[in-house]
Amino acid sequence: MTTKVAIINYGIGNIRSLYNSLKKLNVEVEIILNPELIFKFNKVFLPGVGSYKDAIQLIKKIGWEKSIKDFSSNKNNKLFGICVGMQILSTYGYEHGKSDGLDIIKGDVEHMYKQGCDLKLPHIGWNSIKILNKNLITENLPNDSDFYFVNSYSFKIVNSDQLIATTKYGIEFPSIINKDNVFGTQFHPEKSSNAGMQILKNFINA
Amino acid sequence: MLKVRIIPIMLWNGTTLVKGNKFENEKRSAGSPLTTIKIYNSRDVDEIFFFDISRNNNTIDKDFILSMTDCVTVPIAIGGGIEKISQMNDLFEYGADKIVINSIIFKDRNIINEASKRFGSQAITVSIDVRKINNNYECFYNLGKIKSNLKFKNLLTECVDRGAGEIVINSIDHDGLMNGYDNELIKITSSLVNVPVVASGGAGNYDHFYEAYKNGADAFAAASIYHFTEHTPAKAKKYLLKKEVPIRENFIIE
Repeated sequence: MTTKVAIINYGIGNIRSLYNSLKKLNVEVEIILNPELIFKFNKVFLPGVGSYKDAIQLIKKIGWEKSIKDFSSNKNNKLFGICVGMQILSTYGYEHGKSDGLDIIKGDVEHMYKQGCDLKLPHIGWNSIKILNKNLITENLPNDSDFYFVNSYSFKIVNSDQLIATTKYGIEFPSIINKDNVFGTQFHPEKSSNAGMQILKNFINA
Repeated sequence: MLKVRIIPIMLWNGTTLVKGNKFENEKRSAGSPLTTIKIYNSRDVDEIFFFDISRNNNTIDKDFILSMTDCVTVPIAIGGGIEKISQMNDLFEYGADKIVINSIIFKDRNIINEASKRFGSQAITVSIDVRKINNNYECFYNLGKIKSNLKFKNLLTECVDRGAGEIVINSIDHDGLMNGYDNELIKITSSLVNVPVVASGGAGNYDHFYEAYKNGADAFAAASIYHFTEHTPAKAKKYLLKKEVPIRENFIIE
């Protein structure tokens, strides 16, 4: 039986490359526009590019907030937030002013300059991760694998045991996080060649 | 550590890929885009630049763009003749990760603010074509045909202030000659801006990448070196790794 996964389309970002990457892993992928449809799946991706504020406003406007929270409160389900999709799992975000996030993983999303980064931003390109905690999402991945990042903001996580991997760029920031059945990567696995495919595979097989 | 990037450029004239040569005589065929992009994607490149120089792209050919973006699992930046937010929107929808703008900034620099606000500055790359005249760097646009009166350094910093997330600095004098990048130009550019600088125009061997790196380039774009020599992105990476340049080593899936 093929696994069925869904990608949430709330009107932001480049979903197609994620869709294509998942297709390569021989899974059935559906792009869902209606928050009610989330409950037909047990593995769901929450993508995102652009700003925290735009993303969370759209999520709330279209009625995704409750369905994403309800979905993730069922521990049989698994949610994977990518880039801004990971950032909005936080309690607050400070991009273009403060906004309330989904508050699924405790923490704030703050500009990297404000956290002491003194290198060129946005942080664009391939950077390595340091795996801190063993996790199913990083299985078969060597430490120091490179992934594709595009970010100026990063997640300040409250519980360090939810920190799976970090990346250094002026500061050391969370690049993979996990709380129970909710996963997030600051990088784009769908743009990260083979290493990214391995992460997606790990999530699907989980 | 952030890696420097190896970026092959695909120059598309509407019919075939072509080799650039000081922005002139861009007729020599360099193969089909689909075959080429699949090869690049499988060969450890860190990113792909696709530039349409046909100037027939007022409306974006959705199927054509999708046929390419569907093949890649690394980022792809698309440029060439883009003058409207709506074109950018279409390209992002069809799988572009970044948009590269060039000529439009000589007519309407507000588009940088608008685009970076809408899509994020990380998605907006400004490419500037430069020629050295009497020891001064002068900016050109419309495929290098028209000289601008704007001062290079002012233009550069203005683009970044307005929200450009990355600068491609292209030397028209060095383009296609494979004698090396204009390293002075790279040095000046990277000293003036605090966003990534992509060197373009002139790479002919791996040491040219290393020279550009030493002068501050964050990425090396090149076309001819891959089309017409035995050089490959993967070998470039091996060479640079030996020189202790931070390079991404591809993860081999088992």
